[in-house]
Amino acid sequence: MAKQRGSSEAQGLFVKAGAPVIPDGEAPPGHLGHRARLRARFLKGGVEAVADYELLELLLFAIPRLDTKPLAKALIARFGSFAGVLVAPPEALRTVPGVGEAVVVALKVAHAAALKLASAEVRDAPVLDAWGKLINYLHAALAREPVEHARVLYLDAKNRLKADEAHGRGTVNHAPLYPREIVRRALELQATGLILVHNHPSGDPTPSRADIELTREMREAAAFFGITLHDHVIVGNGCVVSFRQLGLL
Amino acid sequence: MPPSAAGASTKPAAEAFTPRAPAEAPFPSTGPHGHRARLRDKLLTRGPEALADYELLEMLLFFAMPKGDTKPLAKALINRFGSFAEVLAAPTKVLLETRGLGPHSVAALKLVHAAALRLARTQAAEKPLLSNWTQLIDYLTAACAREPVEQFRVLFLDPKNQLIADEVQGRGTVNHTPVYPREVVRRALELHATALILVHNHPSGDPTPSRADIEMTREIADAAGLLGIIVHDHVIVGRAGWTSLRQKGLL
Repeated sequence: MAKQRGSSEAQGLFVKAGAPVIPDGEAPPGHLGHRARLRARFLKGGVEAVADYELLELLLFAIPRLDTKPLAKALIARFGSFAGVLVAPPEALRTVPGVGEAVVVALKVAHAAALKLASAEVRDAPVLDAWGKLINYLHAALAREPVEHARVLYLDAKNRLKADEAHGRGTVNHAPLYPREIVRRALELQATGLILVHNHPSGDPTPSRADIELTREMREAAAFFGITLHDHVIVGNGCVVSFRQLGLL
Repeated sequence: MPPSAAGASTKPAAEAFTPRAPAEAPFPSTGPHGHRARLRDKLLTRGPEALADYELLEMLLFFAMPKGDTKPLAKALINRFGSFAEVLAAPTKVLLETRGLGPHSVAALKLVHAAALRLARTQAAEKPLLSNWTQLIDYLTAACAREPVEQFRVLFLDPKNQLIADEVQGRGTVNHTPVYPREVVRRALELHATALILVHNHPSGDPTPSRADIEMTREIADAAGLLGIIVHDHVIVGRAGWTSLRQKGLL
């Protein structure tokens, strides 16, 4: 069987001579025109130039012959915002009329790619110097989760990220964090620094008494081996607290 | 010592092995058939962490290319720009001038940036707070309609007593509404609720709880309690007013 060649858009990688920057001129009429116009507006003006439901439409353009506007509006009505739709699990998405597998896949690809992008921005520079990017990444990954998740960031002597690992998945108001396992893993990775992270599904990142006690325990256990617990970050909805900034570490 | 005869070895000859062909060929083709489907399955069943950078880029390029192998293009893009993140961050103008990419694929790449921005940002949680009787009654007054038929609703709350969902469980005849504790608790688990408030109306207008109301409430409270879910109250709405089973000491 002959290997299928890519569509006319995929030919190899040479710069096209004389390529227009943004498609100009008459857009095709009607339904195709709507897609081309919205795409052009987005490419020209960026995310600020389009509404939430239009961002979603742009994603749904992956599916041919789909009437994207009503579906985009229905999804946003159900999940609250573009971000809410992105993080929605496939089972929940499928309950919305008009959502088939193609739509689920398009949304999950976009979600996965966005998370990978956010995490990539944290990998290069020393983590403590790029605090804003770290918070963006942690918020993107954890803010809308319905249960508590714990993650541990293991840092090297230059405070660069050695590993970013899911530590435990809990329930609505508790996630298991085991100092033993964290220290064991830090020693395995030869990490000299740690940052603990977990989320509060209620949206309120205020540390609980249990959070504070556990952090103290963790700091002492790590210090015994010369490992510094730099911070414990709790991710809420739209806000994040840092134990260090609160003076709790 | 003379060399052993050609073909002979010091080990016993291996037993002859004839593979048995399966009744039906497991693979429809031995070529790159079903690559897109495999990537989709991997993403949906194992999550984003199961995909390599270039595989995610491949899938983003599917947005613009309904058919064909996007792997060479994905790898070439990463080679050219340095990394997954750098491909996505490259200026729109440069991407549009790259052979292999057009407005549809470039828009898909730029959408990822937009998505990452949105995920990092706040989302206003406009969930009503039902921590006390006043808030509850305000909410129910606004939300309840006068139903001619007995209607049973469940309010599902999170650990901060914010309302996650308000769902009608059953609509029945005047004197009887079928409500199944197992269904109520199952739904609470589905929604990650930690507390419930039950609400129903008495079409007769008299909000006095019946024996059946009280027993059903206890049944639900017992079942929910098994899973760490609290039933805060059961409110009965009549024309003459409201009754709270908790305030009456019946819960």
